[in-house]
Amino acid sequence: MLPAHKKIQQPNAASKKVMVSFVVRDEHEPKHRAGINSLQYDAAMDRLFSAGRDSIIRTWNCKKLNDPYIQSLEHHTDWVNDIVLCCGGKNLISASSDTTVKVWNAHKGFCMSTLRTHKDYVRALAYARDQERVASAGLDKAIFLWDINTLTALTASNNTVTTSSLVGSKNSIYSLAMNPSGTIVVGGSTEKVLRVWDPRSCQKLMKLIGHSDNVKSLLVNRDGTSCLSGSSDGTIKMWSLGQQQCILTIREHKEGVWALAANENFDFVISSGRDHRIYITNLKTINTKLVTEVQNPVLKICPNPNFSGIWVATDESTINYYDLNEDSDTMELTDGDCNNETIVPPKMTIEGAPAIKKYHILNDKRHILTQDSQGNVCLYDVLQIKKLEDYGQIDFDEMVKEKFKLTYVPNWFNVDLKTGFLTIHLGQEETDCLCAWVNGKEIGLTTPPDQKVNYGSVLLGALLKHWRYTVMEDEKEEISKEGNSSNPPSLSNGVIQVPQHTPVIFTEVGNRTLYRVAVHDCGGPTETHILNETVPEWVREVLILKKTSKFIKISFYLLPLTEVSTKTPKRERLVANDFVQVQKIIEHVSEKLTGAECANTACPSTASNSEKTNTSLPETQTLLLDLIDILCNDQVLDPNMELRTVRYHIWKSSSDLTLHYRVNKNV
Amino acid sequence: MRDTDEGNQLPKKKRRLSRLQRDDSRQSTEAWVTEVKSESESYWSSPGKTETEPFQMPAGPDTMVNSYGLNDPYHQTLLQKPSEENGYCDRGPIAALFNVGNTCFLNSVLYTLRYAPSFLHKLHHLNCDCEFLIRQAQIKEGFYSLGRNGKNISGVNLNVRTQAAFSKLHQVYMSLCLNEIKEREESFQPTSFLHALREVNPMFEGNQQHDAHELLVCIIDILRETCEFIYQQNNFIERITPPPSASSTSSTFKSVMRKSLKFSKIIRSDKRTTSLRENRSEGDFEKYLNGDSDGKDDINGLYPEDHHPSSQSTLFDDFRGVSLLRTTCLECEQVTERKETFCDICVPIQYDEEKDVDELYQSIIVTEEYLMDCNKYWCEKCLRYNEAKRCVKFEKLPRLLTLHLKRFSSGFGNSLTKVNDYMPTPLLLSCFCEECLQMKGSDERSHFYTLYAIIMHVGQVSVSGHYVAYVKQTDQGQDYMFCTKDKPKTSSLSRGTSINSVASNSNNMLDKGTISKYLMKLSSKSFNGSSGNMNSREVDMKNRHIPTCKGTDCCSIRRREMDDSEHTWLQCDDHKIQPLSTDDLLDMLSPSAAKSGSGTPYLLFYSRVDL
Repeated sequence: MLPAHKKIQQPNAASKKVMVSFVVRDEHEPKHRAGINSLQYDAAMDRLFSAGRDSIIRTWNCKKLNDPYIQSLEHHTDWVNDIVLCCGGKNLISASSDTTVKVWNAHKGFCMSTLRTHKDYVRALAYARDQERVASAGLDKAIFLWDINTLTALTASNNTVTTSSLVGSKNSIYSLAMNPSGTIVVGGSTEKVLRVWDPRSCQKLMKLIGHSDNVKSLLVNRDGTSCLSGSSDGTIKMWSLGQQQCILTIREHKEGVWALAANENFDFVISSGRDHRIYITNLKTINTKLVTEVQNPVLKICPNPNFSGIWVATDESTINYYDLNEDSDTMELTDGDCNNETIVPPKMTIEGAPAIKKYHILNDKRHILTQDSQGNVCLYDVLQIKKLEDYGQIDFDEMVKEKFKLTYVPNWFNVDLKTGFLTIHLGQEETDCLCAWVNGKEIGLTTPPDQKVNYGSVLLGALLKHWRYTVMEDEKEEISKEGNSSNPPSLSNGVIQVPQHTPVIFTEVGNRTLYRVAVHDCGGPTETHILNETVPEWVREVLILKKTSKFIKISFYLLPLTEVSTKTPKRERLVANDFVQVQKIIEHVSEKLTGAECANTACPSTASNSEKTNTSLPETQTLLLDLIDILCNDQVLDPNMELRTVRYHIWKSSSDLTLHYRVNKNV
Repeated sequence: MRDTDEGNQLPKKKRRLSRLQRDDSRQSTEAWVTEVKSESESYWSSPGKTETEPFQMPAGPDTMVNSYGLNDPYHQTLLQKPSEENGYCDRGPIAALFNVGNTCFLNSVLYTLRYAPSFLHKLHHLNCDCEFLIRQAQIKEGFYSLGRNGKNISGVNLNVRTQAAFSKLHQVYMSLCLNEIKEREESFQPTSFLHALREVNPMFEGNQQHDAHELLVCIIDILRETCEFIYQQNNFIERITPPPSASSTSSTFKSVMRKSLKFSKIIRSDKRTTSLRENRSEGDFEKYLNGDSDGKDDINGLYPEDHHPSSQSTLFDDFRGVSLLRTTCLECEQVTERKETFCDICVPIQYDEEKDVDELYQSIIVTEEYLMDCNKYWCEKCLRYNEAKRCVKFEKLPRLLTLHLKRFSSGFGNSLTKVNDYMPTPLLLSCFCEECLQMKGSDERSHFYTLYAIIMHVGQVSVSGHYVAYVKQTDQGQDYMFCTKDKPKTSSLSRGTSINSVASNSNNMLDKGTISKYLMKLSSKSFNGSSGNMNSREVDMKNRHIPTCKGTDCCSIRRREMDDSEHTWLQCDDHKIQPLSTDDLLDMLSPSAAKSGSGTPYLLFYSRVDL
């Protein structure tokens, strides 16, 4: 299952900003979690391939629909926009918004190679069966032609592939079609025109003007003489490529037409789109009838070979199969027939799972509340990369309120829901990712008490544990060869356990995925090699060189609380780490007031200082806590509250924090 | 400090001014006039004085006081031979504005507004209302605050600086009017308005050239705040409970308002707006855009459609248009719309010879662009960045439409480079609001726009160079003739007092009759066709029957007989005012003239003509 990942970026890729992300998911995800962008049906095996927005391509056994799941083709990191099945069902080509095109072994389900030629989302594929050629097009305006036999022959050593490109599109391409003999390529774009090329000579042939909006779906007939286009303007047009003009316009849909399917001779066309309605139009008689109305906007219609039925994919995770009832030919279509009779239930269904639609990061910057498309509310732990609790269908906002904690931790990650999974993007900059320091024991580490750990570095350490180990072993070898006996790196400190199947993704800014690897694979020789080139420099410094990031300091004033201050005392400006608790300040105040023990080193201005002062016995500590109150904005502070929390939740100002202290005379 | 200094030096003429003011505002301004009276009004009427004490700046720490003026050779020559160059003397002078040192940006905008159709008339009434309401508020405050002296009512009040600036703006036009009535040859120095302006916006401090567009935005903002104030006062003046804080409302309102429409093509090259772009790429801006902006609600709250507070807000409304930003995600095709208020439209210079002028402007202004590449759109439905189509349309275009030609763009570094390329300046412009665009034939359209002023820029950089205004002389007399704001009842009342006040100041013969007579003479000519050889008594008689707005005596443009249409345009180059024929103007606007570098149109001012 080792994907052959050849064309790794050029050396200068390291200089670009690289983001580290990971996906919170189960090891096996047998159901789609978001909409389905494309379908392919393998008649020989009676299998269906579905390209999910959850980044996974799944294979389904249509003979066994009570348990249809066969396998997942996992290697994309973003929406899979289009797939084509080629080489008689042996190979699958996929195009994704992660800007890659991938070649898969369709039977065994592994990724054979990755093509990184596109610079933006790859939106559409077209396949010439007779030639075994495939064309890919995307939002980078480019169309590339690939010879599939070359693609499948790619190996780790032979990893160069030549491609010809079709140039001339001025806008982002959203649809592409090629006839089986590969003599004609038609592209539809936001330019609102169809552009036609001859893929053999790569010459522009013509431009077909007529649509008033983006063209999202295209078909070419067998001999490449006519073309069908579905547009966001709501029309379907048939074009004669010989006459270079539109010969038929079907205005049945009320909204954008996103999916077309027709037989190779263009006897009829099945269409659907944003308006949820599936129509079939006889192109000889121009007679249109409604097949059914579905629950969601339709993204893809995949007919079976004899057109007895269609598989329908929507922006929801369930795939449905509808019979194309021959008898209903007699049923005449009347205008605006939205009655329930038109809604035919699907004959077969492949169930999907809900997608996460909403999230709320709790104040501890560790737990996330989510709500999925079915209304289920769940609690996730970012540090353990797993779901903690499923609350079922409850009020999300109520739960957010309930989970509110008066604490403040800086942001160290972002959440992304585009795939329907919870994807966590760690802060791109060292300063962002490594800004959250917490108490080690709080996150269940066996560190000495009061030892501070950093969320970002702890998690990076866990995600790249195997890589770090391999790299350090290598270095150790080198060191021992040289005969130097420097201190051996220790791995025991601050390691947490994360699910080993978790995919770690390295993305260049601008959504170009550089590498995706599961946590447990990070230690392999190929993976280590790639990771060496991909891991951002600052991550390397943190994990390998054990560089600790800086603490964040908060400066504040500490003043005695006086009833009426006639003369303002000299304001003492103090600096402390943002995670210092109020009790440290109480200790500082007591020291200052008694002035006995350490009159010279009273200021807890550094972390080490404040940690060292923690020598007092618990009894005296509690006594102190009773004796001295620290106030901010006239509010007595909890001794366990951290300074950053005080500033964020109580001080609520960007100016320097001002604290007051008061000696409780009652005690 | 300076207030008191200058208060002592106020020349007698000033009293006359305030008298006039008082008359116009139905004696409503006694208290207020003394309080808000300008520090430096004295400059306007006395050129001799300006020589001795030239143009003191407000008490800014580092004002450039005296650094110009006397040292300015241009200025000195003028003082020696005032206004000889002012053409048109045969029919009485046209009031001119003096350049008090790099203030051509100010003068050009003031000229433009003066000749904006119906502007002065509405300004007059806005000023009356403003003064009246402030006095009312003060009286009320005095009543309620008995026993709690000195309690500030700033929450209700118009910002003092804005109020002062507005008042000074009005005074500029009063003075110009006075100069015309008295057939004075000297130019007016808008120093006190400049001071007030600097109080409102410190940007205009220092004796430097500024962008005329920035100034226009600032002045319109002053008008907006004043209109807003009057609206709120009208709503709340009767209530004992204080109205909700004006400041908070206006700040959100402002945030939407202050933005003039920028177009993405410029935004990319425009440093000043890149922050907007960056925000957008973060997705926050999109959220802001989509989240049915608060600003819009505020606009509706303040100015509910078709329920405008009489005519007070219409001065600002004349400049206010509503644009519609429609964004469509290209994946899910969900449409989000956002309305935004604007006061001018920024037009990038993209001349295309193949297009006719209307088509050209329409294609530049009513745009459709794609958010793509690194600038994708955060779709809240797809929960990701997708490409999107963004259309800019215009739900409503203002009566006074200002087109801001994007002549200045930040080039390399921080330097602003000027685009000198030719851009046609049509005298007539088809409307491009959504309603008009939906009508296929241009015959069906209910209105179009006609050019009433141009501000030309001469030179290479916005902060240097020179501004010249070209204004069209239009007959605004009808605004005053048919004005019903001053009802006969109040009119006669104030008339009585005005006579009284005239009597008490016998040396001051400037009563409203003078200009009324003049106006009546003309109006009787134009409307009755009879000769205007009436004595003042007849004028008085006539005045009682025809409700003539007192604005004519206050700040209007003196009507002059335009026997031919030859010289309908005026070239206003600071104190030099030259009449121009339309042909002359068209010559100046031709592509060949643009190449010669005599100046390039920068701000185009159109007024709507309803068919």
